[in-house]
Amino acid sequence: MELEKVSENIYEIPQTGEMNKPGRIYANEKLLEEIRKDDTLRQVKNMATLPGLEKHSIVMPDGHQGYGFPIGGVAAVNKEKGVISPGGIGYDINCGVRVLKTDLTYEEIRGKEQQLANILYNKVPCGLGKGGYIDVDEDDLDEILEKGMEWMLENNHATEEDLKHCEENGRLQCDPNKVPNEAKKRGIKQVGSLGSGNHFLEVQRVENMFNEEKAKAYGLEEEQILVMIHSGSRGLGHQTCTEYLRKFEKNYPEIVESLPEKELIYAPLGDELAQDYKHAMFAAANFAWANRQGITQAVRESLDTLFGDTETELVYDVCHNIAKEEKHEVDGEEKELLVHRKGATRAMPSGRPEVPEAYKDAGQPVLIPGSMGTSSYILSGGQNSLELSFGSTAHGAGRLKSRTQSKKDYRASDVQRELKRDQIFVKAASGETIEEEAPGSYKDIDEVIKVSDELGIGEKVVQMKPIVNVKG
Amino acid sequence: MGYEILEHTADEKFRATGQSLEEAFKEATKAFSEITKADKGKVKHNIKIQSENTEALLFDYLDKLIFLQDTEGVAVSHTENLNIEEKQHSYKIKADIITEPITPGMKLTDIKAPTYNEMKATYEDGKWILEAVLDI
Repeated sequence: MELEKVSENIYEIPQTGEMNKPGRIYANEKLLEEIRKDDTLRQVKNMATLPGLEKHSIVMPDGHQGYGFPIGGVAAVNKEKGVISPGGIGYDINCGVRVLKTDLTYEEIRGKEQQLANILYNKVPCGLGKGGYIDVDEDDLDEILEKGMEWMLENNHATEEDLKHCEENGRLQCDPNKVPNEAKKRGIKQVGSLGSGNHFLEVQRVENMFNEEKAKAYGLEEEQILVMIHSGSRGLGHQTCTEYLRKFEKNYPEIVESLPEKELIYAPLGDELAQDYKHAMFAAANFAWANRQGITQAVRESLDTLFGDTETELVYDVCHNIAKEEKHEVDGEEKELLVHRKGATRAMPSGRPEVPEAYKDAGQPVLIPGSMGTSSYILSGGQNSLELSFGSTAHGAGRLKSRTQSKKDYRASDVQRELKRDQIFVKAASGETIEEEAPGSYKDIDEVIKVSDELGIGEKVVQMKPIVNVKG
Repeated sequence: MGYEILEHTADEKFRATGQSLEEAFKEATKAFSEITKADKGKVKHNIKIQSENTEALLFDYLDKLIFLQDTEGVAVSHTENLNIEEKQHSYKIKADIITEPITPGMKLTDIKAPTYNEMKATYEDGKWILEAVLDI
């Protein structure tokens, strides 16, 4: 596909045919070459056909092919003509990342890495059919859907500080009755469970500091031990997405007919069905925050067991699969928008109301996980993100190889041995998971971060090196 | 006729074929089971599904298998007595889904959702072809 280079790291797909706006790719030449290898660019073009789209359809430097919409996609639509699309949010509603800081240093945990891997693996339910860390009944679940982290606080599974350091304080206003019953049945046994696939729990140490002032504002120090949690709304979110996809499909046959792919299905924001989905999606987001909080409690218990009383505080928790109602300036005018982020992280700079009080000068922490065995990063929301990406940046390394290919290319024992040589301990449900998630299966996270930093949409604060990785 | 697991960047894809639509769905169930990495099971679950076309039928059928795994704590093994009733704009499946209970220590893949991405449910060259990408 022909692209126009707008400036360094910015490429554009000109507006043609059914597109309502141009498409934009934020990448350097190396990443663009990888992006060109799959269907991402065509999907960016498809995303630009969304009614009510403002400015551009956008894909982040870690972008790759998804269902209908690309992973790494951002699409902001206005409230008057806009639509909501489950495919523009992803099946795993509020899939996201949180980072916990501890009062432990690398010196203190050296020699105990394997024990730490084992205890975390045993305490945090991983994979299919293993239940959740927090037992809830049907009434509890309804309250979790309505109140998210607030329910966790009321039931002694969270501290007030945890809520203050979570996106939206861990609660979006919603009507939980819009969540399908089948979705609730899947979620009831999954509060505080990691799931599988690319979800993980990782013990990391702060290795490099790029911005000491902001690192200090986030409470981070060199050699400090952090814990990163990557999980989402589990079966509940997936079932919510699936059922609304089918409802949209049945309700809007003429829209389905006009789409290049069924997964692009949307509903006009003014319609009742669109509002129902928005409420269900927000409720599933609340569930995901409660889920990551449940995992946090399991981590706290594990650290206390192994190291005695440990201070474990939430640095931040941010989602990368969601649509949010936000105000942004478009052509000099402030507009109310619905910003779809699918595999893209909100990255608000200082001055925005979304930034938590504690970080109002530093800007919102942006949590970017690397692949197994590679660095992860904490960035701060960049000033240019408002102009370029509706306050968004990348969400990770992005997959490069298929799982089948990875299983052919890597052997679990080799991967594990090589990682151990670098003092990285991996505990996973199976050898296949280790092969599928081998570092070579993903794009180079350092390149992704470089583009984000150079564009000024998410700016480097610290880099973390993994020590213990637990996978579902 | 049979099934195969196909290449897909982020997720798992399969192709199942059959002389009849029933046979293709039986093969699709085996593909699903292989992706889950389940063993032969004995526990029987009766399911019923109704959809508006064959693609939707495949989507809803896979959705049902996933729902069963997540809510009953089982892994799908295969299907028996699978019957499809076809009327205009309506396809009904009745089937027994055979599963094995999940016990601690089992190493299974958690299939999270069916997708319409690259989906195929068509009759071509004398056989039914079902293709689907599963979100894992």
